Amino acid sequence: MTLLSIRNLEVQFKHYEGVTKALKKISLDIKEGEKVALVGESGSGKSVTARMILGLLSNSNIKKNGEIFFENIDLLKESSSQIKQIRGNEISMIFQDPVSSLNPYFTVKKQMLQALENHTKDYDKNTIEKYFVNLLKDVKIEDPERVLNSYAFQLSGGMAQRVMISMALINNPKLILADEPTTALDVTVQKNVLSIMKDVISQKKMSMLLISHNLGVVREFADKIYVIYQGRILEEGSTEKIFNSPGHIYTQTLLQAIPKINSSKLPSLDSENLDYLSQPKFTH
Amino acid sequence: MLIGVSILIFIIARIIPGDPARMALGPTATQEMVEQYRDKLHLNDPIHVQYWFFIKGITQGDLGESVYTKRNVTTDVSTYFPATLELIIFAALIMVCVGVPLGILAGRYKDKSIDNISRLISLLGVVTPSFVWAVFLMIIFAFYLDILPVAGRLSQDTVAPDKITGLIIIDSIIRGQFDVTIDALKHIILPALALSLSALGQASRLTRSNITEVYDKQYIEMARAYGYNEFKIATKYALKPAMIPTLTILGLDFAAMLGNAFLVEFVFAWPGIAKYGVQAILYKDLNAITATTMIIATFFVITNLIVDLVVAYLNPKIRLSGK
Repeated sequence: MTLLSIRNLEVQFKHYEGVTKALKKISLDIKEGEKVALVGESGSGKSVTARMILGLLSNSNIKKNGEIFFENIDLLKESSSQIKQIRGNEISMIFQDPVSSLNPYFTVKKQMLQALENHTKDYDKNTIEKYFVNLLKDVKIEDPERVLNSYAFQLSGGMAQRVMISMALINNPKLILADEPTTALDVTVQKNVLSIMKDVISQKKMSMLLISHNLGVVREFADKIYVIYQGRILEEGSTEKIFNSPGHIYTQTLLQAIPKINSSKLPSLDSENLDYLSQPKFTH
Repeated sequence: MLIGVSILIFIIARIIPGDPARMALGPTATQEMVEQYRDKLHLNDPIHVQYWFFIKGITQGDLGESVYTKRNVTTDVSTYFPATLELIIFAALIMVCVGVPLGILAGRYKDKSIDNISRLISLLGVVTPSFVWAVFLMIIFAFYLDILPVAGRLSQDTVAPDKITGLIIIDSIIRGQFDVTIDALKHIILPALALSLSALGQASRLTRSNITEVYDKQYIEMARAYGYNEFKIATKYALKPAMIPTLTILGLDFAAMLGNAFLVEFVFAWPGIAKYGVQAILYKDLNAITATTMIIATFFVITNLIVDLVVAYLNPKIRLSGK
């Protein structure tokens, strides 16, 4: 069953110089238990998509059109108090830079407790710490008691991101949005965090939208891929098909741009190249 | 630091032209009487000997005699200082209770009309000297509306409670004389308001700039993404990071009020230390000048120390770095 369905979403930012079209009628579907990746270069509109789902970009300078259905409710038309009920509860989000995503003046435990209390007031105070400890153990944190009483600056990047993952799980959400969750981490830590995230999400049968520019990350993680370029979806299909037989010229170039040990030259991805946009969307 | 201040003020007070003994005794006194008085004040000794007498006095709690009031300076200070302390505590309360929320509102609704109004109020507060406010407030509330008194700490027919702390409001509450408390409150509102307005503008602008900076942080977006409500973010989640740098400056503002209080005390005939200090300078009352300066310097040091301790306690980065 489809959990999240974006239909013809259009987003425009108004500013002094004029209007920037961030998203141009994009459509995207995430089924229950499915891990979907949205791949694109910087400025392609990936992060905007995630923020639109949670309504985090609500400003008078933003013009939006289209529909975002989450379990048959249109998130774009919901009142802000209802959106708040969904945020962190049914849909939660993992951000790019884990250390600066945690408030430096509150302990991890306080912030986890707050994330919980935003949505439920009746929980057992005696067992709640045990619940947090278990969540932290799920993401392979070895000394959860110490981490619970730590501040963000006392944690390493990889540790902090694992804390963020367990925080995203607190209210047992149906969907997790991960915006470049491993980009700010060391390469060695990246793989580790990624596999932890994949395990936990598969285990709890949650859906996920992974936003990334890293094709290696996406290949290991996602069931389905959407390729986005300048606010437009250029290609969609299963991970296997996209990697084995990319249909769109942009996707082909993107795949060639993955550095290989035996190749000396990388193709250039010219962002002004309008050829990419002239070709129609390719659906596998 | 306090020793440095004491030496400096000791020397400066003696460099100012004019003979304190002559000024104290008046033009009709004979040269002989003046010389005698100078001897009594040790003014004929070299300056380091004078300083030695001064330090010896301090260790015995004796700051010397005031040539103007003819009383011991220690007595004078203990009468006048609590009045000013009461005034600036009250002014600081207004500064924090009004200025900080105003800054939060402005920061939260940045560039909206509420921000513009708040910024206008703050700017008016900062640019207008406190004695102008004093006169303004006096004209409006005491003259036209006639609801608040213009001068002093208490009405003439009200008897001050027996001294415990010297702060009339607190003393009268301790002794249960609530009618005195109300009378004292009525007297303190206008001078405290006049004194606080410029600091209030400062506090509000500072809070605004710090809180707008915090609002751009990733952890605020993350708080929103986890369903925090805006009120909680503004009063707790964004406020704590924003208040820590603000607090240091507010502490300095609070201590600086002690010096700024002078003109306000003058307008409202408030019997405080700032007014006393200025009079001491005008009469070249050496002991009183030194004592007043020392009190203000000590107050600065203590306030700073308290603020530093509070900031260190609130900021986990500092609190935990020692462990």
